[in-house]
Amino acid sequence: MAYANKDDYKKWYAANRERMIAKARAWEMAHPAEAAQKKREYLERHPERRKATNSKWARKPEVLAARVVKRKESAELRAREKQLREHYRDTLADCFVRRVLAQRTGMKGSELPQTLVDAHRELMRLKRAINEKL
Amino acid sequence: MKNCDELRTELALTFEQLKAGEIKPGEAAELANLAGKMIGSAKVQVEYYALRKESPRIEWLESPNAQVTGAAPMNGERSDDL
Repeated sequence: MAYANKDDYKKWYAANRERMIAKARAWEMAHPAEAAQKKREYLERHPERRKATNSKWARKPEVLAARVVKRKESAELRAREKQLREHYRDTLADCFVRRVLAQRTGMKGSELPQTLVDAHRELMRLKRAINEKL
Repeated sequence: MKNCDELRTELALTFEQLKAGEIKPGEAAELANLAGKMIGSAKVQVEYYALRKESPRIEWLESPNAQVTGAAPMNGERSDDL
């Protein structure tokens, strides 16, 4: 369906949107293997869109609530998270240093420049050594 | 100490000297205290620009190996390459 201008196409699409989505969905149901392959190719072409979709999904209130419930119920999960936090603390991982550096500021750790994070890591290492010696 | 990288190197050196027993813990603590002030001050500067929704180059935070693109440095003085 060729339209000379974009506005006409937009009007046509607005009028036929549901029908076109249903048609595409029907094709996907009829050809699952081809549909999956098309989706894989699309995601390979646009990895950043997959990331954006995943993070949008993860920010949904119901998903967040489900995660909280799962965490509350599973002692194993909490223990694993604790172990991971301790590992980050002991190894002075980037995420730990950034979190400490961003405390009591209005910023997120991810907004801090890497050079500052590296310097602060070195400072933390030195402070730990001083406390060991004292 | 002209930038953050140099501060880091200095801290690493102090750490090694402390481990080797070449300097006293009190001496290292003084340097750590001073370094903490410098890092804190740089952090405040970063936060200030973040609140103003500005992203200027902060020369002190730049690594000497970093590729320089974009705005002029915002350390209150003009650099020679401007």
